[in-house]
Amino acid sequence: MIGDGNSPLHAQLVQTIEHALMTGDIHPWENKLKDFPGADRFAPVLDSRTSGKLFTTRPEANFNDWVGNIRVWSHRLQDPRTTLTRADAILQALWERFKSELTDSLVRARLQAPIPSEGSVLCYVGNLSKCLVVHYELAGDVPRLQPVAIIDSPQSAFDIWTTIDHVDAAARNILKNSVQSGHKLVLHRGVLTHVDKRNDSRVFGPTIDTLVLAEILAQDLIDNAMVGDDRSRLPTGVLEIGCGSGLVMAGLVRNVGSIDEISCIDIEVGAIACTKKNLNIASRNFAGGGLPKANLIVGAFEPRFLNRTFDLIVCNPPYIPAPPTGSRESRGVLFGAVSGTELAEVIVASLSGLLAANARLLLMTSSLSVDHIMSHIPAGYVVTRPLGESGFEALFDVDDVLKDASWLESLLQAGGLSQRGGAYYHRLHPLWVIPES
Amino acid sequence: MTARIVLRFRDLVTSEGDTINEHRSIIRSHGAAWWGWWMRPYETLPRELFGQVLDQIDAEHTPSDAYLLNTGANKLYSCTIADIRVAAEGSTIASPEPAKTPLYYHQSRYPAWFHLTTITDLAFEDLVWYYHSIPTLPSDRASLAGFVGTRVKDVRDLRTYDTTLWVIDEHNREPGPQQLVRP
Repeated sequence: MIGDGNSPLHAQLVQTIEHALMTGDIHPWENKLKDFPGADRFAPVLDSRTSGKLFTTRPEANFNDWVGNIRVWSHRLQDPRTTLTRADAILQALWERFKSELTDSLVRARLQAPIPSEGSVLCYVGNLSKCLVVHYELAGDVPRLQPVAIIDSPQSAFDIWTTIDHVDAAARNILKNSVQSGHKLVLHRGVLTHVDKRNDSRVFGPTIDTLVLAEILAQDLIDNAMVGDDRSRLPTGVLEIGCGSGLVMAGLVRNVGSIDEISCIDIEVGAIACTKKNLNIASRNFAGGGLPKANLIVGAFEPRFLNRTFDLIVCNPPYIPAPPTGSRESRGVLFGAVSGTELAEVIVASLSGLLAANARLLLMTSSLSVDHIMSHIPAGYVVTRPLGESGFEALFDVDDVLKDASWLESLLQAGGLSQRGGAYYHRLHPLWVIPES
Repeated sequence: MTARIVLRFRDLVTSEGDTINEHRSIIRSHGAAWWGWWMRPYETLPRELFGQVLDQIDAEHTPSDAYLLNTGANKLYSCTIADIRVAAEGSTIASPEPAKTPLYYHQSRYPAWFHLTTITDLAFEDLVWYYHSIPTLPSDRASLAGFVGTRVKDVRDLRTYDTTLWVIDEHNREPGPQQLVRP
């Protein structure tokens, strides 16, 4: 026990540790320790951290060194000859808790989806600063989890090829199987999402865009609420246009208790089915329901048919300018989900009929088209950039564009796309759009 | 003379004899089994002792001999310890390898786990034991005056101190009276 178990500070510390478990960010927890007697014993821990993230590595270490450490960590920390600092014990407990919660999520998820008994989960922790690849085996009734690799500053949701050359043979096989597997399991903010790419090939995502949106929402609605920020901004009715895998809405449903009704629209029936599945997985009270009222709509976005307003609207629309006229390359199944900016234009034009008082729109854009989209936002709305003017650099890996030389060239010429080391990058620019009143 | 750990247990959640049977079954199939050690609230984890055992194992490259005492049936077993894992102070840990732990408690948590490679039936009459220490008790509770160095006449004597772990000095069995062996 740390400090006085009955003090308000202790209660706040427990809450902070819970937050650290969910986000993988122990920085607030470390700051809280300064208020406790004996906190000077943690000084070496505080000084050795290069950042306030749970899964950080020492500056001189290989980026996979933490993974290697965690494999021997339990053994070292459980060796009676090791002098445990309280910080080590807490970090070990945090890791054990993280494993326990992930195990619970996997076991529950297997009741909802044909998730294999062995596979990997991509865990996005530390406010998207790291992706931890965790291999699991659900043999019998005693699951085994082990970290395989850690990716610093992930720029793509499933881009783990770059780590394969830096791990041992066993880990390499696990990573290869993870990439080749049709089952994509992603953990973010305590919510596990599953997409079966073999059967859900037309389901978009989850992509790094999806994760960025989910993280922004979590920081705004969950993290700020924990420190007593303006709770009147917590939404009750949420609309997601283009829900794809359902990762964003599942995270909201699981972590934002104020929501009592959700509406999800997607043109793909597979996406709605996938969203429904992941909402069920995310539900707190799985056995007895516990989901808010859900309107799951297959079809194009038609604002005139919604006939209500929402406190929060989220959308990750296509933002790649359409290919040049005359381009005749064959298109992939997700072409419609990535190409053209018409959906974003329709959404911003429809805001007056969709946003309730004190409501907001979170709209994903990109360096490829942000100026174009912003020019369509009508007067009477304030636009802010939660990631600042620089946005979030993401790997550009849209096959339809990469296979179309003229389209690719047009985007490079326009300046929204950059090339580096044989790969292409753009910058995500999520926008908060808020009525001026 | 060699100091040895004696771990106390009872068949509380298993049928009589099945605590040992379950662990032996796992040893047969996996080569070793994890044995969870529970201690009473007034006991403390003897971290230094366990460290010494591990140092000995590392130095001699061989498991350390110890004993298991079923205080319900007053049955004694010898065992060999290949590893020990301990929890942080005041805490408990899960079995390091649930698959090598009997099902009846493979998800339980204990202050320490012992990795046993053998468990053998034993008759106390074949042993010569002397009291060494009770490291799980605080020194002000372990009044060992007149106790240390005395012979353990019966395994039930160990329960003079109601703990879950004792350390005994094991002596070689004293030779019997000289006998003239006719050629």
